[in-house]
Amino acid sequence: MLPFSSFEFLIIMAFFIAILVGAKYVLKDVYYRYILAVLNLTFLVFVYPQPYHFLLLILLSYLFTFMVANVFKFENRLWGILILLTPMLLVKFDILLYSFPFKLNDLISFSGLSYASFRIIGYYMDKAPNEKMADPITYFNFLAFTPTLLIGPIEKYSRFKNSQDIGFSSITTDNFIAGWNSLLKGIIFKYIVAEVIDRYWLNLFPETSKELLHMANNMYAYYFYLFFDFAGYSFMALGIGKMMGMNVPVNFTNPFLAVNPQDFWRRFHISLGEWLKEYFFTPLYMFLTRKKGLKQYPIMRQNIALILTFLLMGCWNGFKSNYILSGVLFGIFSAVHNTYVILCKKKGKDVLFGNLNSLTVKTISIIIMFNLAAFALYIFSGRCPF
Amino acid sequence: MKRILLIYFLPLICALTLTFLLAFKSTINSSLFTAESPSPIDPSFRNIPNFNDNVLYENEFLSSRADHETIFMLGSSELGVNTEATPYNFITDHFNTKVVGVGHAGNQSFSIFSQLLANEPRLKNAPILIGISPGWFHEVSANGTTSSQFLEFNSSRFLNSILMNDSIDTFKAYEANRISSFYGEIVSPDLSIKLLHFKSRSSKSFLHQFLYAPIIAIDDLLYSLRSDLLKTNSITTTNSFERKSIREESVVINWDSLFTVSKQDQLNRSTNNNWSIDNTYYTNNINGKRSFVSPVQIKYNTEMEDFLELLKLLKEKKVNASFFISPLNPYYFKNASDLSPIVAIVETELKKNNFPYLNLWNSDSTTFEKGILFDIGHLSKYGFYKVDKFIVETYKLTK
Repeated sequence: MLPFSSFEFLIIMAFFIAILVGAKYVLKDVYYRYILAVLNLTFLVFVYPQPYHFLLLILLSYLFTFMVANVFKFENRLWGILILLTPMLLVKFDILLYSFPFKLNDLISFSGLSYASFRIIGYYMDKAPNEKMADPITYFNFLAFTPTLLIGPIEKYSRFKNSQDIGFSSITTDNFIAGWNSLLKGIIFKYIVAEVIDRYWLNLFPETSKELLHMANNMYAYYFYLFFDFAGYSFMALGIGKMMGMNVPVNFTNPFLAVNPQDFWRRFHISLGEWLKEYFFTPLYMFLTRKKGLKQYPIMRQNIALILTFLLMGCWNGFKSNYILSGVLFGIFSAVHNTYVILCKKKGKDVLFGNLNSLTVKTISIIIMFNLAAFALYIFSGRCPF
Repeated sequence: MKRILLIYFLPLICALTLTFLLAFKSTINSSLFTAESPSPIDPSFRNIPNFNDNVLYENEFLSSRADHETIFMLGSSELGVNTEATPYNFITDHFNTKVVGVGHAGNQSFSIFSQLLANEPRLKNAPILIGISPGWFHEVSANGTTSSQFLEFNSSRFLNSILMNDSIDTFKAYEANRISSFYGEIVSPDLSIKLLHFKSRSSKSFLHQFLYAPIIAIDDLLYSLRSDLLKTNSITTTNSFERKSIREESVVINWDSLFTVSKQDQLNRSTNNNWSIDNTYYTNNINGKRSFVSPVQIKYNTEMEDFLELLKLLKEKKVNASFFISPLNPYYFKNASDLSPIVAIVETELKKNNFPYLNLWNSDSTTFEKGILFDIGHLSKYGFYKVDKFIVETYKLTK
């Protein structure tokens, strides 16, 4: 059974919460991680469909991180990243083994690999060259924490560890109520709103229809469906995490109200946006800044970094044209907006809206961004007939 | 505390009260849970592509008609080739005994096994013809029936029947293990699938049993509640479980003439290639390109495992089963002979279990009979006439 695949998962989580709440009264905070590890391991071994795959990934990633960071001490972290990303890259390339009549994916692919890979890279990037390796128990919990195992949010190791260190203390009535609130919100989003959209709106017109109105309907329906489905998962994970004493980061805050692409990624799949900014955009921008030929073109540097960042995001979903194109579109939106912001700063005025009042500008911006995001996600969905 | 009570627990109590009212008050039940009446099916139907279209097909499955016996022909994509020679047309048109086809692409051994297991009370002496495609045992098909195809042919009613039938425990365990292997791919699994999966997981060890016990208990409770709710609205079958004897009829069929004409017809349709493939199919899909088969070793071949379990079920339940093995076009598949060892195993197993079969497999392009297929792996009219003859002889339809 995969996390959140049916209500039985919630029953298991209820048991986990009950065990942690019970343990809080007999154990000190320092033991929280052990109890959490036992629970995570129990889920992986007895409930998760491919336990060996996941356990092997955790073990190998720990060993390889130790090798590349503490033994070989690669100056260029790109090599370390490539080594740690190898399992995910092999899966994303969808390689067919001609000598063996299965695809490689049939052997090494498993649910949750992408999110685990992002967390592994995050840990490796954050780790200082001579810093001691993470404590294995915490590292295991970091990658195998049941509520976020499958669909994130993408945690940072340091944040996770801090939260885990005060795990028992965080199991309070207030946190429990806040968690329950998030869980209910997630259930309503995922199992009611997304379900209704899926049944009654998303399939109103055939995907293959090239009529403009049908396509517009499919585009908006998918945007709403994706949000409520994905945000539903994230709120449930957040809620259960909170009830278990862990502070899972918020992943969605009203993306429909975003006024520009940057704002959108601060509201939609926030943890992915942050991850990309911190571990890809910033290092890439720094790298481009050091390039002599690009020194005199700061806007171009930023825009190249932006487009490549979103291209990576597209590729992360899979090496398929719809994902890649959707990533490029988000990159272009961001680059155009970035250019616009810099031009406004240079000229000392809004080059597009002039002296229009701020409420009108905000409303127009929301409408534009809403439609741009809906369009890019429509391409992402693969439901566009062209 | 008051806030918690009002905001969270009051709605919860209301929801639970409503659920219990719905569950136990029969008047509310009947108004809310009345099953939608299925549209009537054409009584002269010959082919059931799947069981999703109309629930009434489930009642027809493996049942004999009032006045005659019906032979059920189960298989995959070959059943979609609807010609005058396809058994569900040819036999039905010429004899009182009918043939009904069940299946389309993907209805492989495990799917068939499960359909038959669900209808276990109807199995004894049931005349069943199964079309085996060697393609089932290569590439990804060797992983066995996919979850989506399985669900198309195995409705919750069928799975409920398996779940509730205590006389098939050994087969039930196999069914549960196989469902468990693709359970993760099923979106919103039905309660019966969940129970089969959880029971399979629970049987792995004492710890599994301990962990899954509360989940199984809750699902069992829900299952019995649902069964009670649906009992009054269930569609009851009027079809007989009793088998009719197949009567020999005085029908004279000139097989030689049918073979000659249909073979020539297929050759006339394949003039733009030497591989006896239909012109249109060749132009649209082949154009001189060849492919190869990728047989999967027996130890990794789930399809073979499923097939052997299917034979075990047919044998134990004394089914009047027969088989035909289709060929693959050796002109198109460069290394078709690589599948011959697997076909040989299939043949040996059929022999060992005394099931009559017709083996049309021939991977040697020098002796392969042109015209038997219309494309790369589906029987032409000529091929189907051979199957028709096999049915007539096996089930003794003529005097």
